[in-house]
This record gives sequence, structure tokens and C-alpha cells, in this order.
Amino acid sequence: MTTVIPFGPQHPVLPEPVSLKLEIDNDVVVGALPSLGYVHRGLEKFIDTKDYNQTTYICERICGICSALHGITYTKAVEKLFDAEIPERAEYIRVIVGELNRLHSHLLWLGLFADGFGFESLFYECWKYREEVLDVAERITGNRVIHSISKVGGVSRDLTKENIDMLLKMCDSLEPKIKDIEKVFVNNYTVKQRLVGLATMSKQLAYEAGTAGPTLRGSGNAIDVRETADWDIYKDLGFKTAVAKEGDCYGRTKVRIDELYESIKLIRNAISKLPNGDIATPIKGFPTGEAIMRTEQPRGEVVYYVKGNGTKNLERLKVRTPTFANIPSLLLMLPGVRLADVPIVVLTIDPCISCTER
Amino acid sequence: MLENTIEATEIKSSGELLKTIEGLKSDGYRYSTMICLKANEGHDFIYVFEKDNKLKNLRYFVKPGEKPKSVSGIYLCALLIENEYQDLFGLTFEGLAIDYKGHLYLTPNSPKAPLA
Amino acid sequence: MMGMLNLVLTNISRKPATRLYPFEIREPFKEFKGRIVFDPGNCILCGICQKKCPPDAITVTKADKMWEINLFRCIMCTECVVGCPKDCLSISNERVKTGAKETVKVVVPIVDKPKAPKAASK
Repeated sequence: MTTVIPFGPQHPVLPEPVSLKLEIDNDVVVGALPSLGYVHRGLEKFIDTKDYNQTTYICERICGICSALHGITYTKAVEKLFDAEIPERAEYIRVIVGELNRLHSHLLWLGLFADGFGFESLFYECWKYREEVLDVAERITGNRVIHSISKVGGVSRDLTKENIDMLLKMCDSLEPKIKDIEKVFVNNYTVKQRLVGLATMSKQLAYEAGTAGPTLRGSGNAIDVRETADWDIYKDLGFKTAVAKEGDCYGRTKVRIDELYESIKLIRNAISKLPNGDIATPIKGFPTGEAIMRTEQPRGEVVYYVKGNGTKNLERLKVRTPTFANIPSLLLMLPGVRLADVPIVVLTIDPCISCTER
Repeated sequence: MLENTIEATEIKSSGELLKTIEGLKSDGYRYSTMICLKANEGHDFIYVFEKDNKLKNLRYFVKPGEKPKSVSGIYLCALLIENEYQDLFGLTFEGLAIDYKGHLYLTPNSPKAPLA
Repeated sequence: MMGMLNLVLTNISRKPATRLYPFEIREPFKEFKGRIVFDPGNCILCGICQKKCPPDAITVTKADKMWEINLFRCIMCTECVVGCPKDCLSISNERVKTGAKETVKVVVPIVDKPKAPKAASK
């Protein structure tokens, strides 16, 4: 006989409200049904009242953690409508801020995850390192979390010499610290006992379930939007996709730790190749036509669709966020998992519900 | 005037749509998302698929009053976005794998569609 | 196992990473966007800041010669600072105190400055 147990919307491991109805047999989950709708704000409709420049700020407020990359994706999508040439320096600054965004998001996730399997000290450790990244981001952009650096046509703030020194210093001090916490996440016996073989998705299943980001790459699919033609710049920076073959919670954790190193490497390379010149081009007129833009956010691939109709307001903005693609995979992962492991499995897709519901 | 449009294959009937999507799945395409637009009193759907970092789009026009067929039988992950459009555009999809009946985001006493 | 033990042991001997907040306050970074400062001296009440403001925090009333900002709505995007043709607006790195007043109203002293000499020459 099965029992239905509600999981969430209020739960210690969930920073945001999502509810799962778990059908359990003894303590093994046999079915899961997600229910959303606690933080739906109708932002896709709200853009009707704002012009296309102001919409950047709405897009950044879709989600607090991946805010910079939301803004960057939106501005790049609108620039596609204008066929605008963006100064190279602006593109590099976007990459740097985007990677800082990824660093602090992954450190936040690692902390929450450590808390999820009961390593309180590790949780504080991760968040302590995240604070360093946030301090640097605050000094570059002026804001702590919602950076508002990208605008249509370029970026709003330039990197000064001081900023660059600070970034390099942060990279140098962060790398050994990540090595320290990596030892715990990857080698610790207790952690391994808890994560290895939990909620395994095969390569084929993860691909067909339409998952995105570390959930997809943790199953051995080397798919990353930073390799596509929209992001030529990453090729110059020597970007390599982080993949893990395991396909379980352990694999997804490893991918995120590898991406931390990758982000630090990208920031260093971007600084060494940072070209001089303008940081923005003026853009005049109103957007027409339609465009799709994709970006790799910390949680996975985000798809922006914009449609302009020749007025200052966009006709349609559609955002497919990574968690939106990952939630259906929970339906496939959860059956067979024990109830005590459900919080960890839900955390490994890095659920960001504000993104999902917009 | 600039005219940027995304490349999309026009699909005429719902039978052809499901057939094409089944073909795409066996070709190894990944379901990315579906975009719904209001057009000519009906709705325009753009299905976005991805393979090897390239996108493939299908465009399908839903006549007013038509009940579009759900793709969630072929790609399970389509169920969330289709349920979202039931809420936001007041559409009804046929054959959804999990049907929230217009209550994915909305509660019984929330404002009625269209909301996006 | 050693990795975690090392972390814990070093943390025991290290001084706290946090500050005793109300007694010890970190200086805000000089790049920090703390609040919008309005200098009414040059303002011509053109209303560009009001038009550019994404959250509609700024209201400019020409009839009353009044410039108003709603601090609770302001998102510190600095669109108004960039947009101002007379450079009346600037950013300060000073934090707005919690529980501050909701709106700040500033009366703009002079308008129609350039028109005055023309009228005199005729």
C-alpha cells in the first residue's frame, strides 16, 4: 500500500517554495508529482509596460542568483534584433561578470548541499568563500548580487586597473580553498556513501529528458552552450566542458566543482586577453523581428526568445530557464529513492523556483 | 527596417506535427522548449529542438478554438511547458502526460487567462 | 576523512570570519551604489530621469517645481544618473539607513534660465 507524503513548499533544504507530492511504499518513493505556482509573478507579461532598455532590469530580477547571466542573455538577444556590433571589451567584461556569477552560485549550491547531507561546517566554509566572490563583484559592478552590468549595446561599467588586480588576487586565494573543499566533497568516505549511486540517470535518459546544465553533464553528455556559435569568445579563452560519467548525485557534484576551476581559469584568461576600447555602442531605434539567444547559466542552459514589433515595447519575451527543464527529470530520478535521500536528490538539480515560474 | 526572423519549418496539420517530432526524436534531437505567440486570433507555436549545439525550429499555427495535441507522449519534458500555456493562454492540450487542468500556477480563484 | 578534520581544526584556531555588526561596521566600498544624490542647482525639470526610471521611482512635477524619489522603489540601476543631461544626479557609496523616509522631495529653485537673457535683449 502506498502513502502520499507532501515534501515542501516549506523544507529546510529548499531555499524557495516548491512542493512535491511523494507517493511512498514503506520508505521508498514510487512516484512524484511536482506542483508549482507559489512564486509566479507574471514577468513575461509585465514587460508590456516597460521599454526594451528597462526590461533588462526586469530580466535580472527573474532570479537573484543567476541575475547577471539573465541580464546578459537578454541584452545579447536584443542586440541580435538590432544586428549590433558590440565592442570586444564589453563582451569580455560580460564574460568575467558572468563567470563571477557562476562562481558564487556554485559555492552557494555546494554550501546548501553540504548542509543537506549534514556537514554544517562545510556549509559555512563554502559560504565564507562565496563572500569573497561577492565582495569582488560588488566592487566591480556596484551591487552585491543583482549586478546590473549589462545593458543593450554593451556594459554600464568599465573594469579599472584596481578591479583587475583585485580579481586576480581573488582567483589566487580562491583556488587553494576550493582544493580544500573539493577533498571533502570528492574523497570523503561519508559523503561518498551518501551520494554514489543515488538517483542515477543514464546518459541516454538524461539526454532525452531534456535536462540542462550540470544535471545533463553529470550523466556524461558534454553539452554546454558556451561552445556554441553565439559564444565565440569562450573558444578564445580555452574553455573546456566539465563532464562526469557517473550520472548520480556524486557526478553532478563533481561537475560543479570542476566548473569552479573552469570559471577561475576563464576569468584569468579573459583578463590576460582583455582588449582596450569602448565599452558600449549607442543603439537607436526600436527592435523588430525575432531572435533566440542561449546562455549557459550556473544551473544550465537558458533560452530567451524576444520578438519586437517596431515599438519601444517588446511584443513577446519568453524565458525557458534551466530548472524548468530539470524539474521533469525529478519525475524520473525520484522513483526508487528512499525518503531520507529525497532532499539531496532534489538539491542536485539546483532548483531555482523563481526562475522556473517567472 | 531590420527583419530578423528565426528559421523555422512550417507545419500544416497536427498529424504532421507529431510525425515530424517523432522523426526528430529518432534523429537524436533534444526537446528544448516551445514558444507560444498570439497571432491572427489564434496562437503560433514555435517548437525548439537542439542537436549538436544547433537549433531546429518548427512553427505550427493553432486555429482559434482548436485543441492542440500534446507532445508529452513523445518527449515527457514537454508536459511542464504545455501545462504552463494552459494556464497562461487558456489553451487545452490533448493527451498530456500529467494534466494540471489549468492549475499549475493558478489557484481556482486567480485571474483568468490570457496572462502572457 | 582528513580533509574535513583539517578544515575544522583550522577554523577553531582562526579568528571569526564575520563582524560584530552593529558595533563594527565595514566601510562601504567606494564603487558601491548606495543612494542617488540629487543636486537641484542645474535641474531644468526635463523629466528624462522619470521616463528612464524602470521602477517608476522618480516623479518630476513641473507645476510645483518638485523632484521626488521613492527610495523604497529605487533599484539602484543608475539609468537616471547616466540619462541626466545636466549632470544633476550622482551616486553616493553611503548606504541608505533602514527605516528611512519613503520619499525624498526636493524643490528645484530655478527653471527657464536660458530664456531670460533672450527676453532682455528684445
